[in-house]
Amino acid sequence: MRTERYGIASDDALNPSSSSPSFNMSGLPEEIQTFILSLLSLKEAARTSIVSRNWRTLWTRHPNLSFDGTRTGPSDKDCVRIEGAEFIETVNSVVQQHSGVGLNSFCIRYGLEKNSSDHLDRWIRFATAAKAKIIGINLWSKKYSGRPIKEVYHFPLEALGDQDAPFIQSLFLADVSMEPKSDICGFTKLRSLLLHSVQIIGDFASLLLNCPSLEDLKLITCSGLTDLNIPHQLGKLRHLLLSDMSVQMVDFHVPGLAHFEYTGDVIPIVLHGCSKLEKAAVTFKRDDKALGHAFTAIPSISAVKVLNMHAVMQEHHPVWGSQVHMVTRPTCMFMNLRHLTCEIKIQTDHPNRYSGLLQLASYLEFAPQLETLHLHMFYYTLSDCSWKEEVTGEAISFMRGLDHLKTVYMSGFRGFRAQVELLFGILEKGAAIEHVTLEPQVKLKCARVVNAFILEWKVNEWARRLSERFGKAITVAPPVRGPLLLS
Amino acid sequence: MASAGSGDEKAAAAAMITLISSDNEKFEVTEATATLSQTIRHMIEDGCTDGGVPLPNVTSKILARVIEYCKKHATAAAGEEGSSSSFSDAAFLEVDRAFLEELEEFDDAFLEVDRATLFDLILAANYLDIKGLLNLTCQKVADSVKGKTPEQIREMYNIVNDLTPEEEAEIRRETQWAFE
Repeated sequence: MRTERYGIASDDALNPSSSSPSFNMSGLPEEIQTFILSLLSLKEAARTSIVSRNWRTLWTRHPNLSFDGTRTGPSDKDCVRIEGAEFIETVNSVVQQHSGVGLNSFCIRYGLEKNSSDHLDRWIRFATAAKAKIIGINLWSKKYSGRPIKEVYHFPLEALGDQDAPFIQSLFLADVSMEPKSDICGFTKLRSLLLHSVQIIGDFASLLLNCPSLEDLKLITCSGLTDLNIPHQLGKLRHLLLSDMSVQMVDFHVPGLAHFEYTGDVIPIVLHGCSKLEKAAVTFKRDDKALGHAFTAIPSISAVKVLNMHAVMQEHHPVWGSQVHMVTRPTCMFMNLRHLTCEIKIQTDHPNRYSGLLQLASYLEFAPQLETLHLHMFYYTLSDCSWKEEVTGEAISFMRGLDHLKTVYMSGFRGFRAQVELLFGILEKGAAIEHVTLEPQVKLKCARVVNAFILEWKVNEWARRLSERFGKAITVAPPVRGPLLLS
Repeated sequence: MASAGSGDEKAAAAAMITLISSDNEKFEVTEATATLSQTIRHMIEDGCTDGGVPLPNVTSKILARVIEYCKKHATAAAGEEGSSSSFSDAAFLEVDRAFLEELEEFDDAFLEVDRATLFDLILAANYLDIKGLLNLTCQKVADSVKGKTPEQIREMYNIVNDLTPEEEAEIRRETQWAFE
């Protein structure tokens, strides 16, 4: 078909209207033609099919097929957006025309249910026959949110083992069901697995047993599992994310884990042998002792260098000082912890009587190497009476020296008593502190109204008093005004 | 005979290779420059570069351009490896950024060629297996097609439309989604 080759090297090619052809795709090797077309989006590549006979089938070797039938949400630019009514027909048409050669990724994003199984089965057969390295089937649909009663598509895991050699490297499934069996195969090259709202029936541990190359595992709101007890070692796993999984316990053997993220209830979590942990992020929900739990509930993460935690505190009839000593002592030290970020939401009607925030001082003791402390606070209160009287730091005078602490940043700082006391204590014990920044603006996601009424001078006043008291410069970041008030 | 990939790096950097174009012109280049081409790297590793490397698919005009590209990018590669501790990190980042900007400017200027030369550069990059040059030149072609109508593409590349109106209508029907 593509044997003709025109004269190329003539200099008159500078002039595009010259009659001698200067550049014809058909003169390039087939893999180069495909490569050039792959640098265009699928839609743009397909549009070249009517340039000439030679161009007609060039696009059918495009390596990335990605279709989005939803109108919402982000979508990468190479993804083909299709009107819902034409979704199935269009994907069928592309799957039929595509050569199946050199397929890298095949992704579907559209709210399809079990009654579309025939189509989905056909597409997955196509993708697996073409040995796509990346497969993403996201059948999440906005219209079902809050209404979980629907029949979801059953993803045929066995299809990934049908070829002569394993090929799948990255698998992303959302809103489907799956039934891993112990004799499952085809997963030895899988590096990344993301399951979102997947109904898991059967033996999930044995699926992971067959994924020796797995580096990245993300499980979000999946159902069907009572616990996540994975008895064998996942030697390559570097990133583990568990979010809102309603399980009773978590137990992994992950010697190479670098990054751990957890969102959910307080449950037993054991990560065996993770001594290389770089970063952890922990959010305990529905729990007002969350601040303590972040430091005590997962001893396995104590080797971490960077810890982000999110906590909610609640007290509607507070008595000053009564909450400070309600701490659970951690069973181990966070000897490597250098950077700590705490996001704390505090629900109280009397911000100047509530001292729960000072619990943080107790936990700082367990991180003797701490260099950076970022504290993002949000008081659910309309009261804006900052503390006006003296502070002594007495409530947290037990705190030991924070010898390595260099940088302290607090957002949502409104000069409430516990905030000022905590800062006082930290300044008193942190001889090496170099930078202190206070920001009245609440940085956490919350009602915008709390940022609309900031009495900046009160924060400035505390910054001045503490700065004079400890002889350290304290910067106050000015609140951002304008659009917040308009919206 | 010193073999590449082992031994003294300085000796390897100084070793010269002779490349011979299809029209028999000889080009002396350093091994560091030549080995940006995987094809030549393999020849050196196999020890078959004595008496020069004949490149029967590449004209002297194109080979000169390819060598120009390799020289520039070989220096860049050497600069990355040779990061020593004589600068602070910040100073290094500054130097790096300036160098990357310079490299980008070089690439842009390098691509200012007529289409025939661009075409031959792609073929040479493919034959010599120089990944960076292949990416660069193919991206240039892809960019030239981006956002163009079929008619504009034909005009740009002097392509004769050999599809009958019926065929074109059929293709448009088959791939309707792409034309919406």
